[in-house]
Amino acid sequence: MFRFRKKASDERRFSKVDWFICFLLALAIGIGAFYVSDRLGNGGKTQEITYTVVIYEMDVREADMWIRRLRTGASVVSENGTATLGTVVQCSRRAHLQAVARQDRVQILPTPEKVDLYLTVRAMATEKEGDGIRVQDIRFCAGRSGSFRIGGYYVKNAQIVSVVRSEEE
Amino acid sequence: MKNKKANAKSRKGSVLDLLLIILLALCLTGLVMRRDDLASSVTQQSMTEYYVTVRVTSVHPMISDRIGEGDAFYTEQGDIYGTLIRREVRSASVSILRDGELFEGEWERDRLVDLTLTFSVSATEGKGVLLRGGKNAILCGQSIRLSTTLAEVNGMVLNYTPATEEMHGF
Repeated sequence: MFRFRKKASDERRFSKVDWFICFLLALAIGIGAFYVSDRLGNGGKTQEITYTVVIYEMDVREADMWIRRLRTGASVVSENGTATLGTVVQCSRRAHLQAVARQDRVQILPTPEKVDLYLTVRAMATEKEGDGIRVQDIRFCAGRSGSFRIGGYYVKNAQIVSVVRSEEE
Repeated sequence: MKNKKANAKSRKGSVLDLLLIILLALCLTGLVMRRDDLASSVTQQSMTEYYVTVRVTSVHPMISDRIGEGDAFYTEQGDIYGTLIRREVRSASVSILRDGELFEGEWERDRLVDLTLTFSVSATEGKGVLLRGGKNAILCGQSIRLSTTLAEVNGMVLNYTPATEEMHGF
């Protein structure tokens, strides 16, 4: 049997071997706890970012209404409304272009009554090595598409075309 | 009577000892597994560098601006794909088929661009397949989604060459 005690009559609860094993275990647990806290505790660097969202092919009148209403600093909220993703700081529009075959060649022409709306948004984000930039735990990078609520409007499939750290500006 | 109590106490002690030994054995097993894991990563060092060219089409130029040479690119699974060593930007091409006739043109450069990205990738070639990190196959024509801290793109692998070979245009 597993008995490290010299005698049953020995009054000591733990022998030296037991204490040594306990010490080793405590050491192992301590090292484990250090690595776990290192992983969990490292929330990354918090900084201000500016990102640009494009809403493609918007009706020109609707876009103008957006520009008038959002200029004052509307909030950008996640699709389900649980996370605040920054404040609109700039709003502009560009003609939406399309490629058409005309006169034996391809021409790039503006689409009538359609514009692309560009919204510049400022937000606080965390950046962690290998995990990218996150605003309220949502990954933000140029090239991603998503749905948002902007100033009370619902926007489906808007594309983030730029993410810039404010210190880079 | 006293002897019985002492025996019961000593049995309790033995069970505790057994528990501690099991825990210690588990710790040691963990250490061995970790060592094996590290050893397998060491074998990955025997891999060679390849240049992998990826084509990304019809990207907004602002997205392209957030990609720079020297950037580390990651796959969707979060493992490193490679380092960007060359980035070529040109106006996105457009083709339109009308009445059986193909028309070709280009977008304005400030609207849409095509990117040709060349990565330095650690891989090994076996049985005619290039394996990134010794595990994931790199195939010409393969679609991939790659991301950096600031940008994310969808592309298609065009070709790959060993880094020792001189690249066309390098």
